[in-house]
Amino acid sequence: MPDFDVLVIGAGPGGYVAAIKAAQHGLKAAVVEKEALGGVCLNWGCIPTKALLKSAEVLDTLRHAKDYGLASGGEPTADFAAVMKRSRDVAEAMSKGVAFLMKKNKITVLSGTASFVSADTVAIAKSDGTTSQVSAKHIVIATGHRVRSFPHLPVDGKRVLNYRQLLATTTKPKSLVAIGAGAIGMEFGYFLSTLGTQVTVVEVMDQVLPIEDTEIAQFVQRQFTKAGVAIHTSTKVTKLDVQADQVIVHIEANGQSSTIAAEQVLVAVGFLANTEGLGLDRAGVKLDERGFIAVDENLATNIPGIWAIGDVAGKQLLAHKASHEAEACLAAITGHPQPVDYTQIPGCTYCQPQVASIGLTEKKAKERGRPYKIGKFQFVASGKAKAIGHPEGFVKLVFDAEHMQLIGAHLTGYDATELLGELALAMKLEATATELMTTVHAHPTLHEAVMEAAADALGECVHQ
Amino acid sequence: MITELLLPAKSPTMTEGTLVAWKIKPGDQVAIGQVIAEIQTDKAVLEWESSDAGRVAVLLAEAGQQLPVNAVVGLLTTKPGEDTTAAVAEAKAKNAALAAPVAAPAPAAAPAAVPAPALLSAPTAAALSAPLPAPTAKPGKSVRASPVAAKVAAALAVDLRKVTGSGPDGRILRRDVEAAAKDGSASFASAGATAPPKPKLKLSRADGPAQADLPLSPMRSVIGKRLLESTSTIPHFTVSETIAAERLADLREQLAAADVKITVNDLLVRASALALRQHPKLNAAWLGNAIRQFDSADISVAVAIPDGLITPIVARAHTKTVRQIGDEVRALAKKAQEGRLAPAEFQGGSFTISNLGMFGIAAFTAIINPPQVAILAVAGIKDVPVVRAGAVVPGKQLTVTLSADHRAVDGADAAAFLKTLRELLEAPALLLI
Repeated sequence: MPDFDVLVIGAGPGGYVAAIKAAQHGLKAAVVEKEALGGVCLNWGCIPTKALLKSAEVLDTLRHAKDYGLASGGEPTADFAAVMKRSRDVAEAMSKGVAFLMKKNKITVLSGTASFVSADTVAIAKSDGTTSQVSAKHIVIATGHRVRSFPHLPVDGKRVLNYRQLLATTTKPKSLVAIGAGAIGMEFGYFLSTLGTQVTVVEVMDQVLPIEDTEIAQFVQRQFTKAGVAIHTSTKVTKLDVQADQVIVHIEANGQSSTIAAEQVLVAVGFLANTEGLGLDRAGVKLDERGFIAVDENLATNIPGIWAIGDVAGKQLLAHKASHEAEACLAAITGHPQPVDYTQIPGCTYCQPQVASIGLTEKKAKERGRPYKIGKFQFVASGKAKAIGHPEGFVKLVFDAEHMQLIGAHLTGYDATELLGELALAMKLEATATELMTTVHAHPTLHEAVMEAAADALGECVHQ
Repeated sequence: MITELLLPAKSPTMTEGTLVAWKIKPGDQVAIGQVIAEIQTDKAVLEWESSDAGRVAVLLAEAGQQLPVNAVVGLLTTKPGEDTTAAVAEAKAKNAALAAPVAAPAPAAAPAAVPAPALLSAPTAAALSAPLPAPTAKPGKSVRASPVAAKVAAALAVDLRKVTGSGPDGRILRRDVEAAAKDGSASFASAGATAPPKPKLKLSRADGPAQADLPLSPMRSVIGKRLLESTSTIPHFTVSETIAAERLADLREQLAAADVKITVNDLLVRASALALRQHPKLNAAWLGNAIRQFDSADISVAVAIPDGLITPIVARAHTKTVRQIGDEVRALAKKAQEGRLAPAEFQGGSFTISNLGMFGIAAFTAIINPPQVAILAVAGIKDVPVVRAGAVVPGKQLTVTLSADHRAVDGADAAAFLKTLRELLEAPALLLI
């Protein structure tokens, strides 16, 4: 008789949700974690960075107090150490929340590092040097990702940092080069730049936020440039020359080489699956060509009874994708499969202006070779956006022209990420522009921009 | 602990039933008294309330399946993760034993033997990972489809009522419509907007199969049995009467103008009830060795439903106003359409009215619904020339035909009843007091 019905390895947003779902199905569940409950998301990713970004946003608002008719008594300043401490406090509180959820759902939490002994047994090495073995009917691997190291980008934790090291610093660099203009590079870029660091972002692709709609990316790039962030797209970093007090970043664009000097460098590119030391070979679990665990649409690996979810299973490295896969995985384990639809995973970037999207970009819609229609609405025409002092940004919706089904949504602007839920639901329910347009949206809200963009696609926009 | 869910006998005569729909699925927690399924007996669709509690471990029958009473259709467990393998095997054996006599009831020469109830093959240890069949959207019920699925269905001439939804709770998604369009399983009779409109009169069935053997539903078998028994054992005789219907039509128009929804049928139920009170010989039951006369006029009203007909009862109709009768008939008809009449609502009337007036029928005769001794067949109101004061003028007429059991009723009784009925209907103000 196995010790558990479901054993989850890793307590991030994939793993802890899988354990709770298992418990809700009446299964005996356990979760193994070698660090803090909550994984990267709660401790070193989503949550602590949102705390930092809020500090930057408040600082930015204070600087614009006059615009709102307020006097703030001089130039506001940031206490960098206090800002970083607030972020750590928020993360710790959230991690305790997960511990409470584990207890509430009667889930056994096993502290230690797991490795497979066989397909149904895992050895757990504890920090005190002892090892124990547990067996389970189903084992869910949710060990997440780690940062990939490149020979020409030697991370040393002092001059050249990864995001995790940057989150742990208490002193603000005077200048920083972020390598990679994905969500991590752009969020830290915005944060540090707002707090007074001279930031340069280098991206090898031809736009910032390479997976986002081009129009959105161009808009964000312009806003960053306006705010004083230097951005180099279609630019390769060839070498880092690490010196005692600075790093010389060698870059190359259009065959032209140049250098940028900065106090610190953030490497925000390259991720690997956390499979090392897991003993997957002893269980017989296969990896895909990129080194992530190969799974089917129900998150099953090639070995019956072994499942993989979240970052370690590849595709989008996003917390909500991991949590959704956890639900789908348990649905399959309990006999009601609900395969994941990877075309409907939303993505958000929390710099200001924020970026939120789901589904196809205009470019991808065009590549399908089927007629499509775009609906757009600028926040400058929104009463609410004007009233709160954030008229920047726009909503862009992509519809299949034949039945006007929503196939993509792209938003940028203040709190744009909070507007995405409606569009994710619309995609899930297979709504068309008509439903989005004829749904009554409260006035005045930023959400009205979604309704107006849908109306624009139908040629019936009222306010622009 | 493992508890078997046994198909209950919902009436003393029920030997088998059809599982219309499950209201539970594996993994659900079931409480005592919770409705777990709908079962069709020989007359109605009834709700099955669980007499046990537990978690649904496995369901062993599918919606639409015909099953003998006491067939094991599912297992409940009280402990999580309980192994049901042995219980499933046992249930399978029991079902096989029950199915055997049902499978071979008819003589060898029977043209179409009822197929043995095919219970789902028992899940084994892999039960936990076996997918469930997706629920099907039933014709007649409201169709749940995504907005774009509805648009695609319209464009591809797909009948959403015939599409099986793969979304949450059987919601129809675009892919379901596209799949149905591809395999042609859910097209309307006429294909697409460009197709010519369906002819009103269908002259041949050249487009259809030469013939089709439709399995008898429990209701059809009962109708067949009872009506054959009625016509072969009851000495029927019929008496017709023509009723001047100008005032009746006028009254209905007056009420309609005041937004009061009263039909001719409602007035007929009231008139019959009053006439029956004066002619109790027709308000009776033939018991074989006695004739039971009733005091109360409990009028069965024939209602057509998709699979046949059923006769819900307006009890004590003589005590009710036309309006009360109308409200009651409509409520009963709605329940009948939905298959939700309780047995007490359709068993035990004292007289039946069958009304085909809505089809504009000239006249027809009906078959007595035993043990009742009479049934009234009501045709439509017709515009006819009538002779009044020696001149031919336009008028309206309604023909009613009474079928009566000559063992209990004589021609004079029937004629007297019809005379009273005519007098009431020709002075319909009497029906309102």
